[in-house]
Amino acid sequence: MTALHNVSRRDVLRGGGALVLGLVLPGFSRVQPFDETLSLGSAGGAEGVSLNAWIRIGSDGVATLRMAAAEMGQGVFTALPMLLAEELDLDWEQVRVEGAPARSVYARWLLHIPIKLQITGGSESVRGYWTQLRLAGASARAMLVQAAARAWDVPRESCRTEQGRVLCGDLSASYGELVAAASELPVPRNVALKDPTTFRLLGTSPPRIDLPSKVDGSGLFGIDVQVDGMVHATVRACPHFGGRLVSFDDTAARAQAGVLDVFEVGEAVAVVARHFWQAKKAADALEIRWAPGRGEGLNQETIGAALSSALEKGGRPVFRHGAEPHDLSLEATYSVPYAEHAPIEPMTATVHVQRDRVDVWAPTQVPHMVRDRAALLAHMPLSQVFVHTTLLGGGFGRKSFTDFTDQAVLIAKRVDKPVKLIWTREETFTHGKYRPRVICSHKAALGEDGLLTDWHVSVASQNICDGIVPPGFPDPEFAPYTVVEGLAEAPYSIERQRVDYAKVRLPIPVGWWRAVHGSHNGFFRECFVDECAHEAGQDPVNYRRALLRSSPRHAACFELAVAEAGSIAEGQHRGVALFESFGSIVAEVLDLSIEQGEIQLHRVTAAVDCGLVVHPDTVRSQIMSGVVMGLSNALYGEVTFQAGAAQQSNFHQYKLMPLREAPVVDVHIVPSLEQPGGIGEVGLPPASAALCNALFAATGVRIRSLPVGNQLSL
Amino acid sequence: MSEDPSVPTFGLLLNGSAVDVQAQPDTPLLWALRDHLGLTGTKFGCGVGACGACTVQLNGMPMRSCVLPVAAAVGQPLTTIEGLKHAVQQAWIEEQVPQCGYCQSGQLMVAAALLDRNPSPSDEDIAAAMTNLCRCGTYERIRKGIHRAAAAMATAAASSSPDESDSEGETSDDVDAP
Repeated sequence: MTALHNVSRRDVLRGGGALVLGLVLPGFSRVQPFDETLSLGSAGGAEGVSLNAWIRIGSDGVATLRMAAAEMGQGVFTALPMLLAEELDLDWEQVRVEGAPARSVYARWLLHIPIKLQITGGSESVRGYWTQLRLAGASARAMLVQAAARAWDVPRESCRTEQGRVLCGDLSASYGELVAAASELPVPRNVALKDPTTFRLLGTSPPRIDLPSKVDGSGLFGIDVQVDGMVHATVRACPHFGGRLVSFDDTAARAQAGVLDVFEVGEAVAVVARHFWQAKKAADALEIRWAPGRGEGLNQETIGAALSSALEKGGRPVFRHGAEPHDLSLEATYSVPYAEHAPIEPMTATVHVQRDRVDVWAPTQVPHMVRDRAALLAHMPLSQVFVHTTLLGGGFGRKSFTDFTDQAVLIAKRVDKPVKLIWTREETFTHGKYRPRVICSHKAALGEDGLLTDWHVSVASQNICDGIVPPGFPDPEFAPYTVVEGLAEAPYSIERQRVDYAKVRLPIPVGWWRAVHGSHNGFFRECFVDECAHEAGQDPVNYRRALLRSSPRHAACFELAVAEAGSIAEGQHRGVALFESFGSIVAEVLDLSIEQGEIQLHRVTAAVDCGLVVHPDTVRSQIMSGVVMGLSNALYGEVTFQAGAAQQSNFHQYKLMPLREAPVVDVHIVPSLEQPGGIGEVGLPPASAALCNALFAATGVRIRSLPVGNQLSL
Repeated sequence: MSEDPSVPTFGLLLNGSAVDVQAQPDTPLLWALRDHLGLTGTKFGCGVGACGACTVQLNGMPMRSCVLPVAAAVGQPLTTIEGLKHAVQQAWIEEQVPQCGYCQSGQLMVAAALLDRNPSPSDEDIAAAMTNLCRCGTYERIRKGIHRAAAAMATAAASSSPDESDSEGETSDDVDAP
């Protein structure tokens, strides 16, 4: 291992684009053996020499690129390396990827809140690292060129780069040959980025780097971490939100084979055992008394009443366009239930607390926050906390919370060994950070041409930001990009609009669930627009065309989806929907039929305008993924509460769409050189609306409350 | 592993090798594989046989290992994702099937077992066999991946010499060959 360098002096990528050489993190030599197991791609690539925090090149030319964003299926372990490789002109075959530790050099500015974090969420990875990584690649390239120019005694302007080599006339050297000399050079202050029209790699779809490890069992997910001497833990936490642990009898649990310890951790009881199964069985044998506390009396009816009464009392106007909407004769109230993320990998983390350091291995979307929380909970300086981010077995927003890693740290503090905490599926389901239950009322008036002219929308829900976003930030609670996203600033030409929001406080934990507020606002808006079209006696496609008259980019995307969908097949029914979220526009056309009392989903034709595309195949797969999750949730997804306790504990009570029911998803990309938009979440918002609009076309029944469940008597 | 000597030992025929595992008899095969033998490719998803992430092949049949006691697997050919060598894995790469990948070990074990029994499955056959859950919604590509693997297997069979059919039926599969 090479010598340590002073991070504070070297690790900052300053505003001017200056990069730092030879970054080696303190303690990294000890962390590295583990991080190497996270390396993806085939073996090879010796230690290598770092050109900056992101790029290490071996003498064999293998480039190891550090990924500050977590791979949870959305393809960032391929898309982000492409940003570096494009500017650096790497040979893609020589690219390897490894997870980055939680360190400030790997943080990025969030797009909407003025803070810098190492976070994977908000469909922001490509957008958030777009300039940072391209600069890192361009800067490293300039250093390699400079090293070659010096060695050859030629002007650096006469050199070019291609496929991991610097070339000048007949002269040629591989990056592997040049990297040692390059790493000694000063970091260039100003480097030019490529003109997007000259991209060679971006816009192509090389096979995803992480996939070989996902077909042979070698991919390392959070639950797969194995550390020498490790023991296992599981918990039983208070099922009542707002409730507490009163007492527990662990006599029977402690008598079970392999059990090492049983203790209280917050409002939960932890069991530590040699093996997970022993811990689980012992946890089953615990006799625990819970008090429902504030969860007392909290059930479907009382939650519904709280939301309705907030809506009736009226919220606060958060968006206005034009004068006050008037003569509102058309009314409809919509709702969505609490939803669980349900990643197939349950909550898990492995923690080793030692006298002088804490190691956390976790499938986390927020390594930075995990580190900060672990330091706080274990009374350890930040520099002595090491977070090792694994692959995530699905995240969808759930793994952007630190409740499970915090708990693992608290448990590990009590055990003088590394501890792997695994929540059972039941714990995972009943201790979620749910997509909130939301109700939305529309009051509207149509003009003489039947088009929507006046629209008053009111929304009531718990607010995800409550207790999460620190006070002092610019009013995130009511900012249009949060709760009323897409209801405010819709692409439709409406003369007078007002959006109100009423916040409800309940002890049920809520959080960012894939597509966040788009997950319900897509349904609320796009179904109501269909109602307006129906009221006006107009075709939903033509109706939207008219409303989109001042939004050419949205209109073009919508037209592409409609054109590609073609005509409706005999016996099938169609629903359309359009929604912009996370900087991308998605239109979906869904065709279904009703066969012997069952909904048959045939095809979803989607068009997406996500600006400049990094990896088209990932765009297609992410839209497919969002569509299926949106449809699954619209049809089946619902968490209900009794005495403040979630009533769904496993997949038999929270159905996910199986293969048999999944439609073909045909994705078309609008060519664009606009700034890149997000892609991980954007396919979801239109799906539920397209479904319910198609169901209306098929049955005449207007679904205003999700899930669809058995509201249709087919 | 220095366990209590009263804990029984079970002999598994795992990925072609005889392996002993010492565990309580009711330990699900899943946890024997993951915690006792360190084979973590087989995943825990639900613990009640509902999601299929834990699927292995026992006697060539897909089996949800989270609800199968290790004692029930003794002495029978057992294949996990680590021991799977099947055309379907290459097809999965070619179709770029996995996203997060967590359920894919289980999906692959079911898909491989399906193709071994039915070398050219219809969409209906696939829908009937592939009941494992995928939260990323990769189903369409799973379907394409199975069709692609079937085509690759058919091509391979057609290009191999006809005298290979002599050995057909001699060994049902390769899982129990040490």
